[in-house]
Amino acid sequence: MIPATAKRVEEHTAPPINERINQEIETRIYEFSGNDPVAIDERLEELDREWDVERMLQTNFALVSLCGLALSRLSPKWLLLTAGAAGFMVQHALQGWCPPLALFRRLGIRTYNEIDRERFALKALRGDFKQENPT
Amino acid sequence: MITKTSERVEQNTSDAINQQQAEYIQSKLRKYSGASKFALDRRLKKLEREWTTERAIELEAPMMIAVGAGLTYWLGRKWLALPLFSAGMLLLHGIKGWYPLLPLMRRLGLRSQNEILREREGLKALRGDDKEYQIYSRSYS
Repeated sequence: MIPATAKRVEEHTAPPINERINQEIETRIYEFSGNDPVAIDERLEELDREWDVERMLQTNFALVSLCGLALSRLSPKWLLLTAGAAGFMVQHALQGWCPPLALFRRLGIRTYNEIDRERFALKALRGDFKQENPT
Repeated sequence: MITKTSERVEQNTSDAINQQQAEYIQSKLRKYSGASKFALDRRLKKLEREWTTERAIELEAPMMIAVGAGLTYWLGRKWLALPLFSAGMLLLHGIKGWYPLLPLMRRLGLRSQNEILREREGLKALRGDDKEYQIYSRSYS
């Protein structure tokens, strides 16, 4: 019933969007394959800073609920905005989907797994895993 | 200052617990070095299901905020402080990484996304997943 933490976003994203994000990762890995290690270091640094879907959703939800709370000064009905957003955040935590997800994924916001797929490939290109895996 | 996504939980955890988690990853990787592909696959599958600190916070924070919004609606605005505080803390977690319940969650053994990924990368390397990329890298290796 409760989907795996690492898969719940991809499972609730339209397949063409997952596909596009994967393709971008593949293309980037290919671009870096002939590149010098310094460029890989820089890209890895960038990946560490990239905001993943979870971080975007948390921050977005915090802001939306604060707006609802502020607007409740005008009318208590605005508390419904806060409560509704909270409901969807719980749904995201348990099941994976929530309304802003469709938008964020379309904008190309990646999950931490997708980011790590690129990171793993770049580290492999840099030769980070050679000692763990002697041939 | 905005914390790096890969460090925002660890930077807000005591060194002792970070150290403990790092050692846990090392012990797992030692245990699985030389393990069969089947055993590695199974461990990787298990890691996919593991709840992260992010998922736990995404469950806890909105419940506090919803309860707070409900109390404010029905019992009056003196309750507003509860959802206001909860939402403020979540915003803080989003930007800086700190969160009031984080020390407790970390003590209970919940791992950050990043810690799970470190173990996963190690296991994938043990499985030999990195080799498919090393074909590309002939140019400078």
